[in-house]
Amino acid sequence: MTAGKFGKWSFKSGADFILMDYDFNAESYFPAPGTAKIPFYHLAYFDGRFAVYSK
Amino acid sequence: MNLKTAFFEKCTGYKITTAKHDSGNRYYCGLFYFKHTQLSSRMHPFSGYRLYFVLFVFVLMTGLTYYHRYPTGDDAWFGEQSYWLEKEGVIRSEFFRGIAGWEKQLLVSHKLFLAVGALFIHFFGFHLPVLQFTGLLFFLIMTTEIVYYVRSRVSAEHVWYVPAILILVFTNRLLIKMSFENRPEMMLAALGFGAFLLIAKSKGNYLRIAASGILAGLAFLSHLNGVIYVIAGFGTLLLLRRYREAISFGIFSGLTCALYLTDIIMAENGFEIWWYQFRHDPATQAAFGFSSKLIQILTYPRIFFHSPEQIALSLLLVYMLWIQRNLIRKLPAELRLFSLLLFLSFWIITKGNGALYLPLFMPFMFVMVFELYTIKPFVNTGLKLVLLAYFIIGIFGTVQIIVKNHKLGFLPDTYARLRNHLPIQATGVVPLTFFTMNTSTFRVCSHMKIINCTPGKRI
Repeated sequence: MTAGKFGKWSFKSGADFILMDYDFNAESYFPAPGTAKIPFYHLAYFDGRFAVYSK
Repeated sequence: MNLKTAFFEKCTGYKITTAKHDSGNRYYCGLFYFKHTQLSSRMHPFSGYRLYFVLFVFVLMTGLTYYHRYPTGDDAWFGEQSYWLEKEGVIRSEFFRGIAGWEKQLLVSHKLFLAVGALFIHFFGFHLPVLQFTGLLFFLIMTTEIVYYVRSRVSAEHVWYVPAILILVFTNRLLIKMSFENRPEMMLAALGFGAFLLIAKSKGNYLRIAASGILAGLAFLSHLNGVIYVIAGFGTLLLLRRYREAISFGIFSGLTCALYLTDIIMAENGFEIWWYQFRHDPATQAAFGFSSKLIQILTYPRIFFHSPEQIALSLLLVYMLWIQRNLIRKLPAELRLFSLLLFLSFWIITKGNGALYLPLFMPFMFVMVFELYTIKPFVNTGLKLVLLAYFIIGIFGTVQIIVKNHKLGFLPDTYARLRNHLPIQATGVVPLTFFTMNTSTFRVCSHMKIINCTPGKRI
């Protein structure tokens, strides 16, 4: 899984947003912290730990 | 009594024995016993009240690890199943919707364990610490059982073995970690060790043997891995030629195990669904197929030596077994056989060599260490080093958990603060631990542990 595939998978799953926690349960397929866009989603919130990507 | 003997007694407070030795040298004999007494009563630097103080410190540290303890994926996964059981009377999962029909009903599940979780939710609500408390309850029961065993094996003057073994318990990183998790291993360990205690302490008492069978059966109802206690209990009684007790144990454990079928019988096509879910559970795939099963069998010792938190106790036990290898036959037969059968039966039935299965054996490992030591007490450099490693791993690991809790903050609160940044009435892909956010605002599916997930309703 890559960040790109994760975005596509989330979109296909019908998700309106993606929440990522870089400190507690970061995954290898997360985009680099602060990445502005992944397929189908853009960064709506980032505080250094949490990132919220919205459609 | 000669002058030297009197001097020893006056200075040390020890009474020097006057029993005759074969050599006829009474004074030599007296010194020998003096040394032996000193070894068992004074040689241990932590004997006496100091041990209780050290124990208090470690219990306190363990308690601190519970404060704002971070959740695990299993807290969520099993918590959700208990939630549906309490709410709808059916064990199912929305988080894992789409896998083997789990969103309708989970027939292959840890039924009794989930029922206990549902009971806690019913009385105390659906909160993270409530779910974690299921682990703590059975950890405390298991610890009490270990204390009971040790206390029943030592005289009043050697009661210091009780705090000593408790120090080992409360400095074991794996136990400290899993004692506050919503996983069934603690429950299995408590029930399984209870079944053993009843066998070990009730020769010829059929009522207790029946109770032992019921406890082993309850372990099976809590997790299919619990069948190892049924096998070990039955096998131990057979090997000890306590045939009637073996039959009694078999009947009561069998009847209790049969309760596992309750929801399967009640469900339409229950047996077909059970088999389908068992065969297609992502977690059991390693148990099927010759090559995968062979790998499981060959890598079985990994359970005991996976990482420092497993190695600590395993190394201590292996060291004791090695040093006391000529005295192993002096171990209580019930303990020897029961432990060996547990070890072998899990080797055959396990679907995974996960390190988190070690607690199934841990009460037995603790009492084995205790028994091996008390057969012929000793202190040497090797033991000091092994214990040093044990305590370093335990203390470091405990501090690690406390620091992690502090660093992450209480996750339900942290998630709640995020709420303003999340779209309302929307479907989200979130960490499995997001379950702690008790809201019906979102529909979520987890991006943790899920291979094939479609969005489901927020619980």
